[in-house]
Amino acid sequence: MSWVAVARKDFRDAIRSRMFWALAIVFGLLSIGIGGAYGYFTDELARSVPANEAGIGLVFFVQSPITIFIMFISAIICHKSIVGEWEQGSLKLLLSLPHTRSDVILGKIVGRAGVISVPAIGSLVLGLGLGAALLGGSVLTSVDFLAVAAGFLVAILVYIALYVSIFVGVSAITRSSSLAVAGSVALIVLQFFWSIILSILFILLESTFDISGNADWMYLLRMLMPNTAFNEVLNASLSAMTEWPLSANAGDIDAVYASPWVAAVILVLWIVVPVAIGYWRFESADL
Amino acid sequence: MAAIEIRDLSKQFGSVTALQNLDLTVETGEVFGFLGPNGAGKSTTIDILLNHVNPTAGSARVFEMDVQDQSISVRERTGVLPEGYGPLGRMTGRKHVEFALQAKRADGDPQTILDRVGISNAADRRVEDYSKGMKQRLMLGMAIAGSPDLLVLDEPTTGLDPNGARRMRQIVQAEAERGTTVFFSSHILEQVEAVCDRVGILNQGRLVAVDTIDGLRETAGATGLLSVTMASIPDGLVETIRERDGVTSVAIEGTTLVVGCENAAKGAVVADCYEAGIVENVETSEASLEDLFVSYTEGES
Repeated sequence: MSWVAVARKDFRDAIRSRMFWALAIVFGLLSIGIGGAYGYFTDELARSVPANEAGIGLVFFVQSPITIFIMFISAIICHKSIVGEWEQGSLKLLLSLPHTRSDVILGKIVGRAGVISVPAIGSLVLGLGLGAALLGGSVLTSVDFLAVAAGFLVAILVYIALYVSIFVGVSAITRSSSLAVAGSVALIVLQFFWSIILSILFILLESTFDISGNADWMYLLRMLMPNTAFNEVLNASLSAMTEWPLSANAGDIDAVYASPWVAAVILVLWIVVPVAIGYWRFESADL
Repeated sequence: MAAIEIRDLSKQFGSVTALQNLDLTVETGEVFGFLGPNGAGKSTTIDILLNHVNPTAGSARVFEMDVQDQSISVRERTGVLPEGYGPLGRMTGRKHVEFALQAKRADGDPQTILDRVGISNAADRRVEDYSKGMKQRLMLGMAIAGSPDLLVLDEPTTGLDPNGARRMRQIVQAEAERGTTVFFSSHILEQVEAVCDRVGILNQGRLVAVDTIDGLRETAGATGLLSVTMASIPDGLVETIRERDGVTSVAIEGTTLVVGCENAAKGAVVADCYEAGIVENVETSEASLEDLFVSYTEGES
């Protein structure tokens, strides 16, 4: 259980840095800004919907910018977690004590996930609370809203675990900080351009093969990125919790594989595979 | 039981040979000095003992445990002061010692340990504000935390002022009296001379000598330096001298040949010079321990 000590040290070191406080403040402002703006600018028509629906709209309004922000923050905070200490030599210090290398990787993941989770959850509670209060009526006390908001916070913790795991994995795979930066940036850029890449791919395939009849398999390709897979699972889970009609992408497609469960499996693979490769590389490496 | 048993250990980094067929045994309770110039392979040896680096060939055991297969057990019984360890984090000195105690699953009072290394007054300051010497003392404190059976010190006096270096020696001696085995690496002979029972001299990845300090002194006493100044140094002379029995090193300084050799070989060397050219002056001196160390590690031996 030595990873607990590593995680605690990593977390303690982080919260003593200015970087952490800058992160917490930006996170708080962003969350309060977005939540508050939604609550403040929602017009009368939108306000007239039932309280639970207004509240759920708020959660989804906050979701997209916050998740993208978390993705960036995770990259910044995690890409050097292993390779940076490797280059500086402080990894030798940590591993001169009786910690295993898996203790170090797991400890880093848990520690850095904590570093992001604490300001993330704090800020979201404030932001959603403020937004719901501004929406007025009974939104803040609507059971549906509270359930969806709680579900969303749990989902955000999963999302943080996802990206911290990916970027710590990248950090353990690479042998230099600059490669870790390149790898992390490449993954983020790929996600932003994924739908465009798929569209181009689709056009190319369409002009070559006769596939016009059925393109359901595109669903699987779309789900390959961690963000799309996460959103699919989140939408499916939240719509299962409420009467709100947020069907997941899979809902429109009639194929066995078009299921949020497939997206869930892809999500788990993203949490496990990069870090597993990182562990495999790091475990037997010369420091 | 041997504290450290190294058998035929080799390490290649790409095309660079860091260690070549190293054989070394350090007995329990011994204070062993591991001497050699920078880049001789001292840190590589220590890295292999701690499983930071995998050997290319050979094996190493600490307290009869394989350093690769039983690395955690090895490190639980070992206190380490690594070289070039990088930043330590942002916690206080006390927290660092607690962290080391916790990792080794040992009881101990951080304050007492910080007191022993002489930084108890800075216990609650963050280590970012420590000077280099204070960091080195803290690292020593983390190394002795949990009363390890083996203490591995890699260039421990780097960054220490004379006071700090003396305190370091006192701690090493106190640990040795407690029965701890100490493996002390350094490129400075006098650091090792003062505390070690035995020393091993490493050069270019090879162990060139293992002996007690007294034994080395005897060897040094039996050898000397011979300086022969000549009008000019004829071709082939250096090679002729180098091939003589008892000659350990030959260096050229201007038109002077500096020959490290056993006293018995001096006459033959001088005779070689007379035969080959015009000798202007001959000086001879006894080698010090330092000279011996230099002759072992200058690459001519």
